[in-house]
Amino acid sequence: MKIIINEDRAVMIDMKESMQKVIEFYEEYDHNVDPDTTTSAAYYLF
Amino acid sequence: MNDDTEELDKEESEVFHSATAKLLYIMQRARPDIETVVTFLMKRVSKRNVDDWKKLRKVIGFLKGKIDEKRIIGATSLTEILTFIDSAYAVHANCQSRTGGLSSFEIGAVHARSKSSKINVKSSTESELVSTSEYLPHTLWLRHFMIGHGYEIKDNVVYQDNKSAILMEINGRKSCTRNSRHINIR
Repeated sequence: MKIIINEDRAVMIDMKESMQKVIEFYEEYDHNVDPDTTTSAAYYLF
Repeated sequence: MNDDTEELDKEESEVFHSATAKLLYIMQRARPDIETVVTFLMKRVSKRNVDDWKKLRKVIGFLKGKIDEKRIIGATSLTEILTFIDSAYAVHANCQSRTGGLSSFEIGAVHARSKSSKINVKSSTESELVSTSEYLPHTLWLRHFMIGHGYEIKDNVVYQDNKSAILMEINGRKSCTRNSRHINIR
């Protein structure tokens, strides 16, 4: 996790590496992941 | 939610549990935008099925496409807190509503929360009212936290999109109709 403080003093939290690891972990078992997904939740989520 | 679909086998169940827990860790720190779906999937860990697996695939795909997005927390003024609260009425299988809120100093979200409502209600207005009741302690905590650090909070504004709920929050029982008179405003 990277925490970056911008010039305007806003804090930026970057967890790209952790996200990459989860995606790779999941894709070992499922090869149908679509990176063009525009929303995180299916409309029938609940 | 479809409980009629096939259950996951042992290996898939372990992957589901592990991936969801990893997403929870990421969500709490850097990706509040996936909170709704991750908190839902955490509740499904003990009874996961193929339908839940597809939902997990969807959130993983979303993260893959938006992997370069970063959480930004900033402020234009540390004396003005903005809180946004909303709810989705009776969307859960047990007819509970989904409530959510977000606190901000105008740049990014300082705090965000999405969870199922603790009580069942009879209308969307009541659902909004309960969501306000459930989220406002976070805003109050933030206000006291800032005051404790020496900042004078000049504005503490709550935004909602339900006029009836806003009137009930301001006026109490005076704005209740016969449909909502029974609710105990907490």
